[in-house]
Amino acid sequence: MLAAACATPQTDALRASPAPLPVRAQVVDVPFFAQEELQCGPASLAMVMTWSGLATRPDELVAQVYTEQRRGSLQLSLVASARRAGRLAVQISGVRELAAELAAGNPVIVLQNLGLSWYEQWHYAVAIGYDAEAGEVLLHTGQRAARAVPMPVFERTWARSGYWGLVVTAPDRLPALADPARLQAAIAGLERSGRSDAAARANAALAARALR
Amino acid sequence: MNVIRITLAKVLCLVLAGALVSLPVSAQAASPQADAAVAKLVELGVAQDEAQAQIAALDESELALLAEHLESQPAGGDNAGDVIVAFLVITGVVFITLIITDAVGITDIFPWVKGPNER
Repeated sequence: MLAAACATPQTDALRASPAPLPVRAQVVDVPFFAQEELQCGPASLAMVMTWSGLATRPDELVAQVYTEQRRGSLQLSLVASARRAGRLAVQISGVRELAAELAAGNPVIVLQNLGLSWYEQWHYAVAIGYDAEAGEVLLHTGQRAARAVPMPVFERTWARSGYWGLVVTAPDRLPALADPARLQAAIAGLERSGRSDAAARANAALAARALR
Repeated sequence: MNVIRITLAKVLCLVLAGALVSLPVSAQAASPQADAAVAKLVELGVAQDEAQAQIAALDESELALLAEHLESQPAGGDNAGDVIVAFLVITGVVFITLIITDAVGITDIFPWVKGPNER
């Protein structure tokens, strides 16, 4: 059981053969907001939304994203908040998909369990880069901007959330992800939030990509 | 006669289609799964209309993943302060317990705690 907890298969696979992804990538223009206590959700979402072109401060998101009773932010609240603001918010999973987004120039919100399975410390951070050779992931996290976390440590803390990540982009900029089901879900979410204009732009971008 | 029937059918179809498209989005989105998720959010203290807006932004497939067990879903809050408090509380409890056992005579750890019958 200890061996399973220590194993980092996704990191090993990426480091062994990163191709066709680049060995390293970093998104350099992701703003950093130091989080207030318990507000890693609003801080993380504000970072990616501002990067996507919609200037947002963490305190503007607290009402929609933070759940008092849970002393934290639910994943669905982050997804919903981004879509209600007219952003394309697509869920990704795993180290490979994360690296693909970073290589395409898209930062990713990640959910980690920084503690133990019996003493959970859930935490949102924003992945802004990786280096497969050095074995590191760069995170805007907590009070630290561009913190280099060893990739095995990152994978272990990320594993407990099911390697959950969220890419938030302007609606005419698609994530690197090609999975049609998840892209359609994100566009449908925009429609259901009354953001038909954004949904139309995302659909147009999707059609243009299909033609290439 | 047939032509009139066909035309009437076409008109009826158009009217029905128009009515369907103009339905509010929330009416189209209602489902038992979504309703259950909204109820759970409300239980967590989220306002009704806010809960509905949040659930509406999720696709059915995403609801299954993100709203199934809201009570046990991870909620990122990052409470490092809690860990420190818990540690201090545990340390304090152990400390006080040992003082009591010293005073009673079960242990003799602290020289400055006088046990029973000690001068």
